[in-house]
Amino acid sequence: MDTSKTVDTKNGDTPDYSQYIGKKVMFLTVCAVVLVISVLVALSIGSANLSISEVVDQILNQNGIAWSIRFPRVLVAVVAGAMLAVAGTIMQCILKNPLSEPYTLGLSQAAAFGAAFAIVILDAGNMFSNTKDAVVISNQYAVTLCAFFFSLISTGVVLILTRLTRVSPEAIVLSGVVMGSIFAAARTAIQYFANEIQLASIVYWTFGDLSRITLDNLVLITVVSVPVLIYFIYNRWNYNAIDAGIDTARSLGVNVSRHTIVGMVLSSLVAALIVSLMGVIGFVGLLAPHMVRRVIGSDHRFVIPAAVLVGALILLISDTLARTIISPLVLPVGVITSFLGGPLFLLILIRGYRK
Amino acid sequence: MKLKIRDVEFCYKNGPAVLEDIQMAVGANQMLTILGPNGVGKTTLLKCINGLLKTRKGTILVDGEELRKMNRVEVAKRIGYVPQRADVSQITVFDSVLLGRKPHITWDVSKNDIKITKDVISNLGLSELSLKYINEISGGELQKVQLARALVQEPKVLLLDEPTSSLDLCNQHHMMSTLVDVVKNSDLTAIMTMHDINLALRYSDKFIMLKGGTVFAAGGHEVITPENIEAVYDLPVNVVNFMDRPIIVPL
Repeated sequence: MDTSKTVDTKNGDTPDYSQYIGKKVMFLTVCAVVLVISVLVALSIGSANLSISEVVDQILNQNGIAWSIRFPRVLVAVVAGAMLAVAGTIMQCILKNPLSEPYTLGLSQAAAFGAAFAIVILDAGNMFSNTKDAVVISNQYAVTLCAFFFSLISTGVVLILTRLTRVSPEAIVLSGVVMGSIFAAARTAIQYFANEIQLASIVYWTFGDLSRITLDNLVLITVVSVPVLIYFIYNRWNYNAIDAGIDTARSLGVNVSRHTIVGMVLSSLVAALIVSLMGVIGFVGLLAPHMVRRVIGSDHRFVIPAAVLVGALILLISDTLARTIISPLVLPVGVITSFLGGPLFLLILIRGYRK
Repeated sequence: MKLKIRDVEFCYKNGPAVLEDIQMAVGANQMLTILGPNGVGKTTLLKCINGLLKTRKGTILVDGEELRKMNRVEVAKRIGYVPQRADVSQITVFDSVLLGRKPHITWDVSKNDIKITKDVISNLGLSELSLKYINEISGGELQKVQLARALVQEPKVLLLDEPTSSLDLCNQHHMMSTLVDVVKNSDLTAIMTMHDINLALRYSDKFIMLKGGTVFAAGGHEVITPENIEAVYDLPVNVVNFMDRPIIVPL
């Protein structure tokens, strides 16, 4: 390449490189625009269809169905989707495993066990119907706390095992898989002793569902997520260094063990919070980062914000499909995300095998 | 001397010493090759120098400053490391080299970081590849990218672990002559491990030969004798001269 052509003397940058960065920024912009449009569409469709102008009017005036019923749910989808995707992105990077995410690392199974434990042992499982289509678990609070507690226990055990094995990424992934199996087996055992109503409650809980989230829950998720997201964005160069190899990262001054532990703790914390409030929502943490990497590469300067946008988009679209596809029945959103994520999971496996 | 190592000793978790009584001194613009059989501790010694492994005792001085008292980032500003293997992800050559500025980055890369990266990429002849993903380039090119990444760290000492091990004959010599150019034209010292003694003889100024975890012989070309090689590698060899260059021939 003739360097005289490529050097932009004003900023020492190469025009090609600026163009290349510009393309990535363009991708982020397009994702952001699509997300905004999707939010408006999601607010407009449902049992009562509204026009976009009606939606905008209701949101600005803070009244009507778009504001009071759909807006909180849409916000939940955006925040939860974004953070599940970011948790997956960071786990895949620090564990050096493309299949890592809260769902595959046993966190969701631990949360499901926690919910089953609360429903059967703590008797929080009396279901009743509050409307024609919805079922509510009587003591949601106990179920959520138990789910959260057990997902943290699972993460804690994985991290302790990891410390004992000097923070090897493989050990973390394998410990996560083992913890997931143990909690899945424990949940089966609990289900065996549950009565019909408790069993129905457990099954209902494992269907991830955004309608369970209250505004307070949403505030809680956001308050926890924002600092975590800022921390991840701040450390984007460290994640790029870890991608280049552990020895390379350490020789560049990166404390790999600390970033692995802190990254695992923070991404697990956010995922545990979301899963314990909503139930099991699989594959968003897998789907979003992989889609993003295929389009814009693995540079975490762009992958993290893009995963935020694409994760939000996936969960929002899934939830909108879930509540409109066989309206007036509302499907659990976890079913839709798993239908989307399952085939991708297989695709990644096949591609990995081919290599 | 640019790099001075005195009495360095290393062991894994209170086990027996893997390296002991290591002494080394290398000046600026010099290349030193660490020779020895597999498992003798060559890579371990490189990792001790840049603090990837913590030594039990000894001093490691770069320009008179003790590295063992510095934090990781300060060490990274002084020592560049090219590992034998690197993980490849879908990141461009330019960004991969730019990553070498990591010890100097606070929030984000500056224009100066980009300029330094561009200069190094240009000097190593990688400009045409700069927007290619590193998982799409050849092994020889990847090795140069790793060298470039270490160079943009602006280190005082460059450590290279088997820099030519995965390269073909042409790329081996290309890589080594690039390295010689870089070392001779900047205030840099290079220390590398290598199995190919002939390649080391051709490009290196100094050698240390490790045996049993300690320095068996150290010095210039004069230490590469049939006796020393046989003692270290347990293999009888002869040294023949070809076009005024010593060549090691196993017997």
